[in-house]
Parts: sequence; structure tokens; C-alpha cells
Amino acid sequence: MPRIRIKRITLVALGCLLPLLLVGAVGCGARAAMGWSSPILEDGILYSGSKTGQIYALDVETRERIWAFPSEGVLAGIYSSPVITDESLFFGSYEIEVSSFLIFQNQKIEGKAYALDLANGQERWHFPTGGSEDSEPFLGTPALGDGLAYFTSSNGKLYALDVETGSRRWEFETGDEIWGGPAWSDGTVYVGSADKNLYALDATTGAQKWSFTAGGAIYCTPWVDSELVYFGSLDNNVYAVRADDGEQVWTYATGNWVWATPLRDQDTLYVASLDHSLYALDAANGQLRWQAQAEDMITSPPAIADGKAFFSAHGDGVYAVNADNGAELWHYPSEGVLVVLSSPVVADGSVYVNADDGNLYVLDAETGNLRWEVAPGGTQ
Amino acid sequence: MPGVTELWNLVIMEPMLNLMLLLYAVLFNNFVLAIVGLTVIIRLLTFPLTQKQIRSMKAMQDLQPELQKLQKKYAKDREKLSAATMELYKEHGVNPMMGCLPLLIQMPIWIGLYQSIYQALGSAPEQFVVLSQRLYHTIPFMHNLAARSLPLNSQFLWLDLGRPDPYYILPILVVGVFWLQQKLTAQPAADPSQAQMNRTMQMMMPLMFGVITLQVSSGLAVYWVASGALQIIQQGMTTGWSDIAKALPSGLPGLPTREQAGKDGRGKKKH
Repeated sequence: MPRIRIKRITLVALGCLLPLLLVGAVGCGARAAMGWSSPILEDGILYSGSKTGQIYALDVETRERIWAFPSEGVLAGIYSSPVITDESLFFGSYEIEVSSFLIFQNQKIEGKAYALDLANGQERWHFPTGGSEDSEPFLGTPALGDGLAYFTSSNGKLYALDVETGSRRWEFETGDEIWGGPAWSDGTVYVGSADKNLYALDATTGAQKWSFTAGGAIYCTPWVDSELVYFGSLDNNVYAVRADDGEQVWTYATGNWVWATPLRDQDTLYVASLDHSLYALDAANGQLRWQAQAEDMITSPPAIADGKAFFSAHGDGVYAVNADNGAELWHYPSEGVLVVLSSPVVADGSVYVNADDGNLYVLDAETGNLRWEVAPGGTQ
Repeated sequence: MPGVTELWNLVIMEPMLNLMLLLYAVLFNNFVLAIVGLTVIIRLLTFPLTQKQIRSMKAMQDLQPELQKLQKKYAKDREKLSAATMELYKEHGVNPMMGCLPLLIQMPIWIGLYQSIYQALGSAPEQFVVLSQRLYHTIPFMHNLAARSLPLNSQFLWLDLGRPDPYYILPILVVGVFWLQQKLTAQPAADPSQAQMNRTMQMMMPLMFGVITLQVSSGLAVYWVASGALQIIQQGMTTGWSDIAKALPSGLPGLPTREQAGKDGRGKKKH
């Protein structure tokens, strides 16, 4: 009998552990929200969202953090890159409000649009001010123009807010969620939605000028120059449409979703795809010039400087390639794994990388050697 | 173990995920129908195994009166009770492990299904971009289907299937379905301590799943409810509905009462 009893005890234990094992098993290949804010650098100060849920300003000379927001507590994740003026910094947040009763716990995913004082990180305003249907995550990088700050929300709306007060001037509702940011150019705001449409709106009134329907949902922030609007879609294509009427000029098919904003530098359009490739296309006609291959998906646009294209590839660190022909110049780290989802920023011969491990890595732009690293938001 | 993980994804998770996407497109862009559809397909594929499992459990339950006699006879000699129990099983051609073996074989399938639901409903961008690596982009039909269907509509009645149920209705349903399932699949106990352990198991398992349902995507809870309900239906059709009526506190509309169940020939049918 004792032999059977041991089996029964084991069965009871296994039965109770089974649900935990199942939940543990799904952890493979997926992770919770952490954000992937790309840093910006202005006058020797780097602004970025940390992996620990704060926006911070860091003096790259002294490597000292100047301020962090929020100064107490953290946000769940920051996907938006900061956008700055002389006085203010704007970003959107992904927040989780947890309410609990005994063992019952309810998580509400929400978010806000923030404006901070650039000098000290103090909050100037946030939107929305109360809990409402507008309190959905603000994932996209905001855009500025005509005295307004344009924010996109997961509730499918584009908000035009007064840069000084955060009050709503107008809003435009699309047919599905918006995760990418808007782009402003010459009195028009362009925004892509998961409803598969790219919208062009009057920047002061929000009136729709035109829309273009792609073959899949649009999750990237469009890139606009004086004549063309470039954007990618979950149908694996990158599109170029005319800025004034939305007529398609050309399209180029990659092997997987185009999640990152296409980036134009002179007459070349750089397109990062989740098929692990960075494409350099002729911006006028979409003809392929070269293709650089990484070992993992590329979720953010490259940075172009000094004839080089610098880009990150999910679990595959950072690459530098020749911007003329795509030839690899260096790869960091040469051994081991470094997860990076955001774009690097390049200045004064250094490449600044906001990595998933919570550290800011600063690499030599010529060699890819590590110069220094810091955990600006505290280590995870 | 990246190699094992990749092999797992290639053989188990990705086929299920893409099949679910196909079902979503066919079943009116309704993710709940896609989950139920996939659960039905998996149930059909594993039907011979589950059928064997149910019959084995039923055979064990049918031996309960004889087991109780043995328990009385050998109340003070546990070793003899154990030997006599094993002899009884052997005599009736019952293998106690047959109740567990098919369940263990099905485990990878359930985990794969569970993972694919979790992956498809990823509400954070980190989860969503990983979905791109799991889709069959090289098959033009599947590529077009994915481009048309994504993002999946995760709204169903009051639920956002990518988030926990805010009104706790699904956790209650999960506890109910698992409790009934446990009750129906309870193995006869050879002695009072085992019976106590069985009762603990019958209470703990549903509660554990209920608590977990409070934290995970409600799409997963839909799968648990659908899978559990299908298991109960299969059991009812295999061993007779009288067992289910007996397990319920006072029967459900449309099912026989306890008294009727006692007279129902199918309820006592041996397999």
C-alpha cells in the first residue's frame, strides 16, 4: 500500500502544479510590456524612456542623470520616443492600474500623453485628466506642429492638444487601434491605423483630406517629405504615396511585417523589416539598392551618420553597415546576446543604445567597441 | 535550450497558431469561435486516446462496490488490501495507469494550443511583434489571410479576450467546469486516506485554475471552458448521462434526476 500512496501524493502534487506549469510554459517566446523608447540627444543631454518605466535626462559628458519622471514610482512601459522643444518634452505612456480585493486582482491597461518641463522633468500637463474612454495606452511617438502636439492612442484616436495646456483642440477617430505615431508636415498630419488606412488630416481642424487603404494593418509612424509619404504595413509592403492626394507612387514587398518607420536620407529610403533585413531603396521609385541581413527581426528604424547605417535587431545587438552598399562594418556584441528593440542615436562619434537589459550602451561609431555603459533607470 | 524551443514552436505551436488564424477568418472573424473550433479539431484528433481514457476511468469507477468490499475485508491489513486491489484490477483487465497515460500524451497538444492562444492575443507590442515570426508568410494564401485578419478582433460580449475577465464570470465558469470534470473522472479510493486525498484534489485543481484565470487572458479561460465542456459531453455520450446527473448537486434541466439516473440502464453499463 505505501507504494500506491506515494503515487497518489505525487499525482495530487502534479495536479496542483499542472496549472502553474502551463502558465510557465507560455512564457516561452513572449514577455510582458517593457517599452522600447528610442533615445534622442540634444546639446549633450540624452532623453529616453528607460526599461524600468521612467523618462530620464542624462548628461552624456558626466554620465549623471539630471532628472527622471516620475520621480517616485514607475510607468509600466514607454514605447514613445521623447519629442522636445526649447522648453518641453512630450511623450506617451503605457500604464497598468492594479486594483485588488483579497486574492482577486484586476489589471486595467491605460496610458496618458505627457508634457514635462525640459529643464527639470516636472510635469506640465497630462491628457486625459480624468479616467475616461480616452485613457488607453499612448504608444506612438508624438508630433509637433502649428502650436499643437499630436498624440495617437490605442483607442484608435488621434488627438490634437494645445502644447501649452494639454487641452484638446480636436480629435479624429479611425476604425481600429493606433500604435504608431503621427507625422506632421506643412499643415497636414498623417497617421496610420490598424484599420489598414493611412489618413491625411488638416493639422488645425482635423478635417480629413484623403485616405489610402493598404493591404494590411498599419502600425508604423509614417515618414513625410515634401512630396511623398512613406509607411509600412502588416501586409509586408512599404508604400510611397503622394503627400497631396494619397495616390500610390510605388510599393516594395519585404518578407515580413514592416513595423518600423521608413527613414529617408537624401535619395535613399531605409526600410527595416521583421524579416530580419534592412533594405535600402531608391526613394523615388522603390528600386532595391542593397539589403543587409541580421539574425533577428528589426523593430525600429536605423540611424544614418557619416556614411553608415546603424540599426538594432531584437536579440541580435547592434549593426553598423556601409550606407552606400550595405556591407557590414561591425556588430556588437561579437559574442553573447544583447536584446535591443529601439533605434540607436549617433552623435560625436558615439552610438547610444537603449538595450532591453536596462543599460544604456555607448559604442565607438567607427569600431563598435564599448566605450561605457550606465543603468540610467536603475537595473532591473 | 533554444534548439528544443524552436523545434517545439515549429512542430506544435506554429501549426496550431496558423490553423487558428485560418479558423478565425472562416468563422466570421470571431476569435471565440476560432478557439472553440480549434478545441473541437484537437478533440477529434485525440478522440481515440480520450475515449480510451474515459472508458478506463469508467471501468475503475464500476469496480467501486467491489473495492469497498475489499476495504472492509482488509481494513486492518493495508498490504493485503493493496494486493487484493491489484488482483481485482488484473481480474477485470483494468490498468490504473490507462487513466493517466492518454492524458500525458495529450499534454504537449494542450500546451501548444494554450501557447498559440496566448501568442495570438498578445496585447503588448513585445508579444505582438513575436507573432510575426510564427506566421506562415511564405505560403501566399496564409500570408494574405494574415494581412486581411490582423489585428484579431479580441472583443467578445463584455470580454477583451487578451485581458482577464473584469467581472469574474469566466473564473467562476472555469471552476465549475473543472469541478464537474474532476468529479466525473474521480478514481475509486482504496482506503479512506486516499479518498481524502482525492477529495482534496477535486477541490484544489478547479480552485487553482480559477485563481489563474483571474490573471491570464480571458481567451485562455474560454479555451478551458470549451475544452472542459467538450470532455464532459464526450464522457456523457460514452458512459451515459446518468453519471453527470449524479455528480451535479440536484441535476440540471434536460438531464435525468438522481432517481431517474439510478434506474437508467446506460448509467450502469459496463465497458
